[in-house]
Amino acid sequence: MSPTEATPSRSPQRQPLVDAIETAGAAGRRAPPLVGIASGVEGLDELFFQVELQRGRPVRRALGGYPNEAVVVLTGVPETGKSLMAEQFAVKQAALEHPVLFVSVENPGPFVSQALELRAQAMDIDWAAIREQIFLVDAATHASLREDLPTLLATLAYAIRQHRIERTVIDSVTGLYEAREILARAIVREIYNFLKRWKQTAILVSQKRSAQEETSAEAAGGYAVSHIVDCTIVLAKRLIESPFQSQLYGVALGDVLRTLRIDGCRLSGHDASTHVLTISELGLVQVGPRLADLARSQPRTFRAVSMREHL
Amino acid sequence: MSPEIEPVAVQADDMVRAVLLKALEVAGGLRKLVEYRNLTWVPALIEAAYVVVLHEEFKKSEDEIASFLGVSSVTVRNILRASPEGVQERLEAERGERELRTHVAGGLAKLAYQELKRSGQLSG
Repeated sequence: MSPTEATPSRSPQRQPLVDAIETAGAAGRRAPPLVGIASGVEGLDELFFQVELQRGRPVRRALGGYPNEAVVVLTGVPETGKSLMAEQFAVKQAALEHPVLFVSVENPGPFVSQALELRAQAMDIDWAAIREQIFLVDAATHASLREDLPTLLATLAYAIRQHRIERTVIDSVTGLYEAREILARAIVREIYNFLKRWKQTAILVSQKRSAQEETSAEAAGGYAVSHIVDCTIVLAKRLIESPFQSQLYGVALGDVLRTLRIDGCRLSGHDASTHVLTISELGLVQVGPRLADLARSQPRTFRAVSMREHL
Repeated sequence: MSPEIEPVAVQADDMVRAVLLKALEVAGGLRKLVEYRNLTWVPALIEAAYVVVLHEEFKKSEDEIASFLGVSSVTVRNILRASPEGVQERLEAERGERELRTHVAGGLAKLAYQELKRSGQLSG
């Protein structure tokens, strides 16, 4: 053959990927049952629901937790309760005898173990009875887990297979794209696909910058991460700086008001209101009433006076 | 303390080796490279294979890859932008050249990577 003779061009990417095509019915038969997976956070489980028709009328039925096999992002600025909520989920699920994989990207393993023990105490759960049910992956100490995604995923796959795990927590996913935010979407997409493939109900903690606005897609951790995952929960806090705010919310001047809002969930119905979120002295997160109800419950005269002051 | 899982290391080198061997196969095999005096293409193919694997599998940024390989970010970008479409025609047109151009090496490495991915042969 002469050097100028060319072999026929191959264009493999133009071949149809027949396996990717199936009917909605066939795909639906592989869908997991829509049940709730207890979050371990009082007041949160009732915010996810399913709508059923009873005598022709739609009726809400509480799911009792995060939707099964959902990948949930918890996002917020520092000190809003993200990690506490993730830990409460891990402790609760371990107490229900579901082994949990806890990937720590921020804190080394011994500190995570300590924090989980404190959460268990606060939740009145026997730590000794559940500690062997929580498997730690210490990505804070092992740089290869933070920096090499295939190593992280191979490690998770090993643990999931070995210990029959169906619940995973990653705190935080932001630590996996530190200083290379441009790759955030690609990394989260890879992790999401992995968690779906392994049928995990998963909590991903995502750190939000304080500059990112609270009600936009940026609130979900930015970088369009919320478009990838199944559910996004936004945690926020605001300093009560005026007598008007203090009277409106019944929170002392100078205190912090924390809130929680389910920004979106494509696997089930959900309450879309902003709720008050409290963190007890023991470090236990609880979801309280809707912010609107809290404001409404304040004495009317106070509200009227405060509104005049505000205007 | 709760039980701790040790990392299961995945080496980029193993994947790069697989992509390189596939790229050499697509390029006509070792014998053809010898016959056409194209063995000097191999370093460019190794470089392109590293770029494709580090980007696609390890989600490394252009700057990270450039720093690791000791090449410029522009070279990395050119490899990543190379098209695998019609790469064999372009290869044949380059047979007389001592150096394999970056975008051809990139297209070849991408084609090799895609074929390995499609057949499920690429693992750490």
